Amino acid sequence: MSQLINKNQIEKHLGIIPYEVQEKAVFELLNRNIIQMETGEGKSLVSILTALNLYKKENKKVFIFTTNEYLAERDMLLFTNLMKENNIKLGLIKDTMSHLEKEENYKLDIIYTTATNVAFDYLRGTTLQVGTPLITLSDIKDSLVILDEIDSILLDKGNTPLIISESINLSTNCFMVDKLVKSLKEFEHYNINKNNIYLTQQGLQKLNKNLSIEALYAKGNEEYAKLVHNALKANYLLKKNVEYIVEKGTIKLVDQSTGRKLESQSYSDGLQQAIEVKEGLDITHINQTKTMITLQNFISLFDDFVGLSGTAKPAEKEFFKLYNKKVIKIDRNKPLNRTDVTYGYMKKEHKYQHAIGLIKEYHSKKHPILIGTQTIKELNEFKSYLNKENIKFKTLDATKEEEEAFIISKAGEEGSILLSTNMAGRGTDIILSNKEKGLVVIGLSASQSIRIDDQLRGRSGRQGEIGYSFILKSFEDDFYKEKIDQDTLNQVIYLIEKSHGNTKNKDLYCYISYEDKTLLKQLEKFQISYESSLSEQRFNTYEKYKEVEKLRQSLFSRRLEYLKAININNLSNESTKLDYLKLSDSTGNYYNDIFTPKMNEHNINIKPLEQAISYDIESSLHICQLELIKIDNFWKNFLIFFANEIFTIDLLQYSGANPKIELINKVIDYYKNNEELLKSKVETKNGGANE
Amino acid sequence: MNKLNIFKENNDVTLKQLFISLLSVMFIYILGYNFVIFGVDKELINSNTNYILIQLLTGGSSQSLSLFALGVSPFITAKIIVSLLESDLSKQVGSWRELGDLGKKYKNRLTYGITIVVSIMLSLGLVLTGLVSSKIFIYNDILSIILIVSQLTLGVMILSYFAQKLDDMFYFLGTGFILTVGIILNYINIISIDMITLQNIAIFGVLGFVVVSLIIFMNSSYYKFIGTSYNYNVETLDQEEELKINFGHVGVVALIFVTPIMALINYGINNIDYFSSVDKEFIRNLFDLSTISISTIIVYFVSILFFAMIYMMITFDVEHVANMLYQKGFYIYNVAPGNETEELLGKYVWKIGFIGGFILALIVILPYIVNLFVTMPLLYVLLSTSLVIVGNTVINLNRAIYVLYKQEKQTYLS
Repeated sequence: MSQLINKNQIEKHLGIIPYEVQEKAVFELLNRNIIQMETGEGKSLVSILTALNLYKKENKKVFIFTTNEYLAERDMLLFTNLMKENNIKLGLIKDTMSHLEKEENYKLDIIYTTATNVAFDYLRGTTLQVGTPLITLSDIKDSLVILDEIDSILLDKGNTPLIISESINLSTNCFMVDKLVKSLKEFEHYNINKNNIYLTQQGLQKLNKNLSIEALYAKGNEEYAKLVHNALKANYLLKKNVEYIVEKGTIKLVDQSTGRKLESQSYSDGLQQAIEVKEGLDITHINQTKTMITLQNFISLFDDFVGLSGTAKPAEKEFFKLYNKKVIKIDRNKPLNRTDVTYGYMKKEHKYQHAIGLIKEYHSKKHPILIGTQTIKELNEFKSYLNKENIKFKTLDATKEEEEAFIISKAGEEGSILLSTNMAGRGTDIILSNKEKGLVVIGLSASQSIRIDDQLRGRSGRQGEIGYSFILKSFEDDFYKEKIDQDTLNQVIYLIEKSHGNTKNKDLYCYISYEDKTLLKQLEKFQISYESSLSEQRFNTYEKYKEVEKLRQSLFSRRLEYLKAININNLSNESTKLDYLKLSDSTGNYYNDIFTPKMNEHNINIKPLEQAISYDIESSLHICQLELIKIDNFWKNFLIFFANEIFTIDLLQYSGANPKIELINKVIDYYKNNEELLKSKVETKNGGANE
Repeated sequence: MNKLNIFKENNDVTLKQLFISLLSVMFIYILGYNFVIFGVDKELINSNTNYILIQLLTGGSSQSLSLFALGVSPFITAKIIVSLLESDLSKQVGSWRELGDLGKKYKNRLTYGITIVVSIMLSLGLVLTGLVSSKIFIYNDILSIILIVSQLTLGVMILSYFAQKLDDMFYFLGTGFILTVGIILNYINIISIDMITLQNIAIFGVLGFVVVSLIIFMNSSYYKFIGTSYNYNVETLDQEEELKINFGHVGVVALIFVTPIMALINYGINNIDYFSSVDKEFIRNLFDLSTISISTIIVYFVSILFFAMIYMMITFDVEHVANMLYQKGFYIYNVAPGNETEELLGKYVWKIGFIGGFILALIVILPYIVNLFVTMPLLYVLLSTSLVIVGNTVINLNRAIYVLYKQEKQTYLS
């Protein structure tokens, strides 16, 4: 194991000597396992040392995906000198970088970035009409990737589709529909249960009357039905400062697991616009999916991946089931010296009061305190409690990402109080100014899983430091109100109240304290159940896209060949072009394999290589461009088809069919039925129809 | 990377894997089928004609008291009970559906638990109703009974385990496959050369053809609801989508469930001294499937139709489907999502259950009706009925093999 790490080098550049547990972690990662390593145990060093060894051993480019760009940049700067001594060039990809900057960085040996940055660069590359993609499928297939906070990437965000879309026009009726929907009242006109919102008969009648239509769900009124559906969701299900924020007149989505802004992502299918109308903002065009991929499918494209996280173990079954990877737990370098407590409450009010009590208690002892909320809305809500008590604090949320590094650097100071969304819940190291005054973490509400709660706890008690973590959950937390079936929830609440004897006693809730074991057990049971249902959804999504991935890879490999041919034809200098072609011919041989037969197919005289370039440049360029358009249209239409199929495929089980088998069949049949479109007649520049 | 993992849950199934898994199960079944359990004297095993006939439909092999004497039927019964609990009877079990993998785990545990209980009851029934004569016990009575019951239960659990594994790989294929293997083995065991005459083969051929055609018809006919989806897409804004509910959804479970119940009622009543000979005669006229009478055919038909409808109601949970439709962005034209959709589906599920159940019952009694006019060996009558189960499995298996083969051969942009 010792040859994996050159301790002297590390000491020289970083001033630290790697722990034995870090060596073990590198060893396990090189065995292609996933490791669970607690916060503060030096995961960043483990990642880079693994990347170094993988690079040297496999001679392949290695990506390190972190949860956000801030961490990617921090780690890249930290390890640049160490890697320089090993003749390794470290790269960094940031979303805001120019194409040229990114291109330079993609050429380097080990690249720090986020998974979504590379996934989007890959997707953009598959929609280019001219130019060179930053990263191609073959580049990805030939690279290895290390996933920092692997559960965040593959589980929490795993089946969210990353979409590249194109704009189409929006119906102007959306304003009228939004106004109407805003006038509806809950229970009278609509009901909400677990992310479903249904119109009541009265609601329907009101809409029919005001829209001057006979029936909203009749054939011919699809546009209204869809606008109403989006407006209902936008107005009553998606909340400002929870699912999205408004920044400089635009809607920015908020990543629910990290609390960060999703800069380049938006809702599709008209929902984004419905929110814009709701918020009275300028309307962007509707985005229609041009191409998409889920993160879990994207990561599967790599030659292989390994990953590390402080909370990987609870999901080990899923990692094995989906990716055939084991999770190895790495012991702590020093024993944990943190007190972990979970409190349960019936009412939010009591929870906040207890939180204030805890804050006052530890603040008086000068401990730094990190208070974690799930949403910006909750953060704002709790602010008023702190203000009422005249407690001084700082805040961190998606609107303050630029100040993040500074705010975090101050969070470990004695007596400091930081109120943050789960932005500070993952990947952030809070350094204590006084080791005797351990960090106190207070989680203000239940997240969607105990695994994410544990991430927040992990901010405290680094390297055997003293630490305290309190997670406070109540049945009135957003998680229980929005994600759990309300009938079941009410039943549970009723049973707990009943077990305490007097359901009419207003003060009862004060008696049902955090010491009630049943209460706590039920609160956690809902989280476990929800995580399990998400796990199944991820598995289903992964399965459903498998055949699609095969089709995508074939189409895009062919597309890339045409793109290369266009790029060659666009070269200004004839001799350069010839050199390039000859070079390509000796390695890739695409000219003869792809280009020439196509020219034949399009009735263009086949000439020797040199002649083809000098005489038929315009024709050949045009053919390639047309081929690109054909592939793009095919793929776009396929995605529309597939989006509909994926929505209805599960219904097939009600016809006794096997949805998994039938979906594969549908993808293959679609291809076969539409294969001709890839070969269809196209109009050439001189007006004739070519086969 | 492509390691061959037989029975690996949710592994990306290949054709090769499917074949190897099915062949392995078949091999295990043949082994267990020929393995006479400990505690009984092989030579003296009582063979009861009535019970053998039931086995032809359920795939067990109690005539030789082998390890798999009870077949996979207790597992099927347990699955039906769990589905029943899941739909309306138990809120607790119903909520498991929302729990994804965890819910499946709970459900499987409960199914296995009920399978054990049903197996113990059935094997005790086998011993106590005198199907197994106490003369064949090697040890003292109690020890032999315990031995027989535990071994038969073990046999059921082995089959249930493999049925579940195959079910996980392919929806519902495992149970049907094991049932089919059992049925085929029983026929090979029972059929004698003198039964194979030209006339019998001709009648059976025609019957078999009609039965299989009707199964195919049932599986390919459906009730269709036209609607569209919320997925905003200007180009395909009014694109119609369909929700199809197949008549084949009633499945063949009614047959597997009703037949042994009828046979057991008949056998039980006729072997209990308490009942008079008139009562026994009355029961025989209604429930004895080995002596074909019009009254038995009517009872058989009505029972299957009734149970098929009940099964459809149990498994097709309209509330769940209406919620799923909403989440998938689908609505039926002229029907509001939510309650209205739920009510509409509720109305149609009865109708679909009735039509599906009617076709199934018709398929099942067809050989009996033919036999009223053209006499043929009872074995052939039952063979035609077994074809419903075998045919259904073969159709599903065939579909899976066809698509997997297509997938393996398919190359894009070749």
